[in-house]
Amino acid sequence: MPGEKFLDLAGTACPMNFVRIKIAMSKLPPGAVIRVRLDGGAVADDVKRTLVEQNYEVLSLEQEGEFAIIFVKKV
Amino acid sequence: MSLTDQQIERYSRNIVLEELGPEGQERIRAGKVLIIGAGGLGSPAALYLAAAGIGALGIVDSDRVELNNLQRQILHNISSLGQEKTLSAAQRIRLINPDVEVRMWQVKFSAENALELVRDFDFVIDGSDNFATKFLVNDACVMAGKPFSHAGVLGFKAQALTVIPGRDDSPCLRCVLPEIPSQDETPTCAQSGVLGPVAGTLGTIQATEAIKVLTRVGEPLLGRLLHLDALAMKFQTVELKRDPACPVCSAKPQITSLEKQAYE
Repeated sequence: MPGEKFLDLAGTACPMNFVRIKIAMSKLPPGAVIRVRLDGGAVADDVKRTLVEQNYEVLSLEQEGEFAIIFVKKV
Repeated sequence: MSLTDQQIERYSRNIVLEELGPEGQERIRAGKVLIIGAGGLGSPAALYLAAAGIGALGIVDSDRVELNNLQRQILHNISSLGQEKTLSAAQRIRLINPDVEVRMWQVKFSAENALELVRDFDFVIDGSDNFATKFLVNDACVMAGKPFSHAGVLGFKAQALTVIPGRDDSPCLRCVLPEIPSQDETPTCAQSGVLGPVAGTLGTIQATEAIKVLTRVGEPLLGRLLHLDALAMKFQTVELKRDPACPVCSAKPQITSLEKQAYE
């Protein structure tokens, strides 16, 4: 997607990965989407759960080997 | 043991209280409190007990001071970043009150050391941040007959309970929760958020309870779980009763020794 913001949080543990997503989102207008690379497995699931709890829209989460790619939209 | 002029001056605001007086101050001075965890709860507890003139404070913590601790762990500061928490705690305590004897254990409170650690103290404060340790504190204190304050904080919510083992009106943690709730090793994102002053409020309550039990005044939170919702700023108490079938504090306990694997 052209102009899409990408955040590489591979190797960043909870809660800092979630905090960085929040900070990035706070600078974007509603409707903006960012692509985030996270550590895979439980870490990504946890971040996804917390994003949903805090009213962000998770468009997709895909586990790719040791990482996960998540698309998050600001509601 | 009589108070020096300087001590009379220092503790004057305690001594003037009808419920305390010089006898109460002497009980505080003779008191020894063990604090498990020099973190969000342990920090204010240690500071206020030191200020009150507690005789001895034991600090148990295996961690080093990290930047994100400074948001709520007011025992520590930028000059102690990277330092062992017990040492950081001791330094700060000594600055507030050099009369306090500080004993440090830069270790994790564990099934192997718990009974030995609590043995020499009169009151224990659970300042830990995970269920396994909270249950270990509970079990060890019940077995050793040591009064203690349980507390926990998460987000804007917190709770506290005081336990004096052996008393009919004092349920322990397992009277309410017989089994340790299962929890992943690392806290989930949502569980790592805590508002500093909420932890501070509860740690301060824990210090108050310690002083009350040591000086035998007032009504400690025996059989009363104090719950705070700091967003609504509402305090509630939930009445609790001893469980005659409690695994650890009943007449026929199932838990009679501390097994390492039970707290992992």
